[in-house]
Amino acid sequence: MAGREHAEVATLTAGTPDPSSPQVAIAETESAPPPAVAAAGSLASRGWRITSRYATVSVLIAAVIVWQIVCDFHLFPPIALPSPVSVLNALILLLAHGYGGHSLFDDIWISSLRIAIGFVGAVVIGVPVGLLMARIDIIFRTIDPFLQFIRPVPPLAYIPLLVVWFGIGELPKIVLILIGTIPVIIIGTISGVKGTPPLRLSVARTLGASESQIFRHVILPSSLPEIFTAMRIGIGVAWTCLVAAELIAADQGLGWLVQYAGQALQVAIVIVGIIVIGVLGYAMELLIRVFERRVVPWRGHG
Amino acid sequence: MPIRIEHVGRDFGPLRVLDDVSLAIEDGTFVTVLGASGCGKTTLLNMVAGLSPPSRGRILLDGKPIAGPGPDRVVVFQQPGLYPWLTLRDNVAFGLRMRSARQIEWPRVDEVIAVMGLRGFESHRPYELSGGMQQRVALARALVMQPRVLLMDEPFAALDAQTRHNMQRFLLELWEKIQATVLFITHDIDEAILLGDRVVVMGARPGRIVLEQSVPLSRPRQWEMSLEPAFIDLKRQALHILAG
Repeated sequence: MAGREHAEVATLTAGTPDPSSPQVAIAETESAPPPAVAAAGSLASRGWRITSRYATVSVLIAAVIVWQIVCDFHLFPPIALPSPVSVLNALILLLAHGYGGHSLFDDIWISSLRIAIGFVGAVVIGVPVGLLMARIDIIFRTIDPFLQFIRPVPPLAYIPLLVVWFGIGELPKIVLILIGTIPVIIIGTISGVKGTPPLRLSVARTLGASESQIFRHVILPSSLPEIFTAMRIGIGVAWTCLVAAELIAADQGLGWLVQYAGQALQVAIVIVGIIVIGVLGYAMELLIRVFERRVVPWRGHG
Repeated sequence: MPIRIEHVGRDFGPLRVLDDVSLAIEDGTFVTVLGASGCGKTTLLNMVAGLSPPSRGRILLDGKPIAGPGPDRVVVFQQPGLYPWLTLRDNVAFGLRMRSARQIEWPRVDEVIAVMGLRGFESHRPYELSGGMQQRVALARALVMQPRVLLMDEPFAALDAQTRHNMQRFLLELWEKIQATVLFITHDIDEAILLGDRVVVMGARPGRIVLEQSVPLSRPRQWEMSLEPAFIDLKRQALHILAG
């Protein structure tokens, strides 16, 4: 009886065209449970899966649409908030002709080069220093006060000093990246070494490993996951330092592009610059993640 | 007589953890040390392993005092403690690599892997193996060193009941083949009696030996032996001591 009733309800509902209730199709089966409950449940979970899969893309598209609407209603003067379309035009213009004497690719290239040199330098210096500090107490006590002093000072504060000392060439930018990034790498490395599970050390000792063998074969690999975390944080810091340095003292690079365009009130170009900076930073993070998965595939598996 | 423990005591600050423990372990015997948690049995094993020094007394290995850890006294811990960046085969070979990186006796490594029933998993990483398999890798890593004494610190305590049972049976069969000298720490009475040639029961606060008794059961051991009167008698004695 109950099943027949449902079928009737379904027929009735089907009679009145209602685009908002797709559960009708399911309700037509005689033995179906109360349609609203069953259909709502399965549709919601399926919808949720689709939503979460495309969440990033959907939100991006929605944001651009809202941005365009805000511009269409002239809520802000176009010079302060150019529309997505004019930003796209600015990007095309930048790609075709460049801005301020060099092309967008020149700026991307020089900024990436500075990051690469500064970041690789920070890792090459930071990891060994961190390892030494973690292992040898007197080295830790010698370096740690400087580290703790440098860390809370915002990188921007060093820029005037670096300009006075090194001018506006490549050196001050790379030094600033080093100042910002090395402490992050050192602290991550120390934490990785100190976080080596004691059991791993005891196992190696009872198997006859010497202290230097334990360092190389147990402590070093054990600290790699933390070193990678430090690198992922570090690449963000490095990028922040670089853009800050380019904003203040540079004649090319993405930070310079943003600053130069801003002074000329070319807000669309400023926004293009910001987007390129963000996308490049994200790409670098992804690159390190890929690298991390190759080097420490055991991460998260104890 | 590979191991002689002579009047050994151990203090942690003002706390007397072990008080005057003497014990001799003969070649080719399986000695189980049974005690409630906190009775100092792991402390005793760590001192034999050389991971911590005794406060009083001395421990001799083949007549020489133990100065530190060494591959002649490999420990199998409660947790497998495998290295996740190494494959199963490289984990088993770890001790041999530490001894001489250029001359790892791979045939022996592969033989031990086969004996432990791990063949076919050589290139797996530890986290791809079950808990029981991981503990067998830890055992293989210890056995491949051919230690004078194999030290086992509640090696099956972290496993589920079924796996623990299988591992005990596996260890019994293995021991019949290799007849190694074993010092085995446990808080499980049945395990202590079933596996051991001799059972040493420890009391707590301070830790000391209360009972030392040969197990009157024949080899090879079977699980059904836990129903024999001799087993039950010994179990009753141990229970009385552990219950205080």
